[in-house]
Amino acid sequence: MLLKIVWKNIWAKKLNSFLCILLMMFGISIISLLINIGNQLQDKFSKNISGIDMVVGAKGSPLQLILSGVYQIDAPTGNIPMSELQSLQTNPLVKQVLPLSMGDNYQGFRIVGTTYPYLKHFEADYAEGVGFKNNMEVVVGATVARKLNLKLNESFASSHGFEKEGEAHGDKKYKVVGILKSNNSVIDNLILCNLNSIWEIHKHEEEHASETPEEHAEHANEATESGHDITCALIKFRSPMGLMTIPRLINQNTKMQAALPAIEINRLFELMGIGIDAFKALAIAIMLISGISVFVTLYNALKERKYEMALMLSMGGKRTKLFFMLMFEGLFLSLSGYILGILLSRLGLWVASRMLDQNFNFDLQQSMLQKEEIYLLIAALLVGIFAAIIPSLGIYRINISKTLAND
Amino acid sequence: MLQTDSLKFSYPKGHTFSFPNISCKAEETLLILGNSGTGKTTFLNLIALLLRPSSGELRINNTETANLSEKQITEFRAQNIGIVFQKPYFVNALNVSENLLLANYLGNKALNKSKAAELAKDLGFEYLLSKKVQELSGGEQQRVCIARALMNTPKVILADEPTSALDDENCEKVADLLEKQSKLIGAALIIVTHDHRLKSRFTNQITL
Repeated sequence: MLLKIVWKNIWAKKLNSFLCILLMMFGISIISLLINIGNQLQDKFSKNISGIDMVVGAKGSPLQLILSGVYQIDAPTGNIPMSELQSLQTNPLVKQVLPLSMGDNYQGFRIVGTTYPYLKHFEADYAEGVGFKNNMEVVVGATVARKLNLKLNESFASSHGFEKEGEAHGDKKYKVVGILKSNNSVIDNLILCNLNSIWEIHKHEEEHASETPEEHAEHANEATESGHDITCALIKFRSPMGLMTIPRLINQNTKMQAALPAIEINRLFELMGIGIDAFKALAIAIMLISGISVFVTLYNALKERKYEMALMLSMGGKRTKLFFMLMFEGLFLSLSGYILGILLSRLGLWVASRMLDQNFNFDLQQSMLQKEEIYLLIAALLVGIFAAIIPSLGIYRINISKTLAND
Repeated sequence: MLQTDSLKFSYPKGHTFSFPNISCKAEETLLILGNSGTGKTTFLNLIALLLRPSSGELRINNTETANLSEKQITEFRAQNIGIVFQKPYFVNALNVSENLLLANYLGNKALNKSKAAELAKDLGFEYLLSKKVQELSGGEQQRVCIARALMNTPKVILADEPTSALDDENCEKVADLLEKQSKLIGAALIIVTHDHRLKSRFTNQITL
């Protein structure tokens, strides 16, 4: 009966209640969306970074080098000769060098030439097939296989650059020999082959260079005396000593640049953080306004319903009971705002995921309640409680006989 | 059923009322008359246990109410006293039937839907049970208020100017209903009024 009265009272003031819930919903959903996207980005970024201490590549923006080399989202800075890596590979402070060669794509998914340890680094597991052994054999990531519906032993021709519309390398075809299980890392979105495959395709092209002079120019600097260029290399160190000395050595003494993922990503998050903080402040303001609107609604309600309250008190209602009745009204409004807000944020996440997926082959997971969202629930309830408590306490000030006799 | 003994009440500003002793047995009707300012409503509030007297005794249903705690008073009122206020107060968000059942709920009794339906039929508003209270006419509202006062089968029914806002026809009806219903459940009926139409009807009167 108490809850029924609460519900009826809320229903009797549909528009007011709707406004309270709407405000709370938007506040909650914005914050929750930010939390989810932020967490997932950070999660994805740090998962892909793990173990990689340094990236070397052509000179340019270090952030760009990291984004292209580690996350496969930006354009590469340029090429470096494979031979330059020699000194690094023999350096005792270096544990592992993972060379990467990029430049082609298939339907928008990057084809990356690399070595086996790269797969091992991401703990890749095969859903079907085996790893690449020979030239022109590829292993495709889970997302790629799913999106492009690629099957084992299927063949395809790559196109140049990173856009779907790039010029096709029609005469040499790749063959799928393995499909990876999804593991939520960057390789889900990659097509992997050995370095030779990439070199072979582009060497082959140079022979036809006369037909496409622009292509020729582009590839001219890729070719060196040895003919073997790579885009960048991911380096793991044996000890922190490497981190102290090697990056400086490379930046000063070679044509390459060394970038440290940890530093660049921190910089990136700092930049993003400003935007996220601004959004959070906005969302908190919206939540507070919702609280104020709950307060005003309940306060007015108490004034209007003073007679009702006095009546219920005279009929045997306890003040505590009526106090909780008003509190429940406030809590109901903020709680339903919270629930709708979380639902809305999941919907937003889904939309954002679709957009990111279309543009960057990067999707967001629909997650369970995050730890922060539990805090958000507590915050929403606190807003409800604080907004409701002053009007509710008014119950204890009602003078029954005076109120009812007042004509 | 109800006796008072030298009840006095002082307002904080200093005005003090002394009330005559009254007693009212079950199934009896007592009319309390008086002009405005003579403390009629104060007297009713004292009997309804909505105010505590500054001195004097009030026995209802063989219970000396002066000794009850605030919490006991609230329960006692819900169990034993049905009040018909001068103005028809309702919980506006609830419909007629729910307003009746509210009396059961607040009096800590099981919700008695058949009783509500029965009273509605007796008082002639069974077709209004699912309506909103704001949609009712003044006479209809007054009848619902009477039904609500009867929901917990009280020992004493108090009515504060129950007819002042009604026309002659409705006045007659309401007075009939109050008398009939209180006799039916064996309750004492006390009506506070200055309505001369009631004076001729009930002979047991006291003037403040």
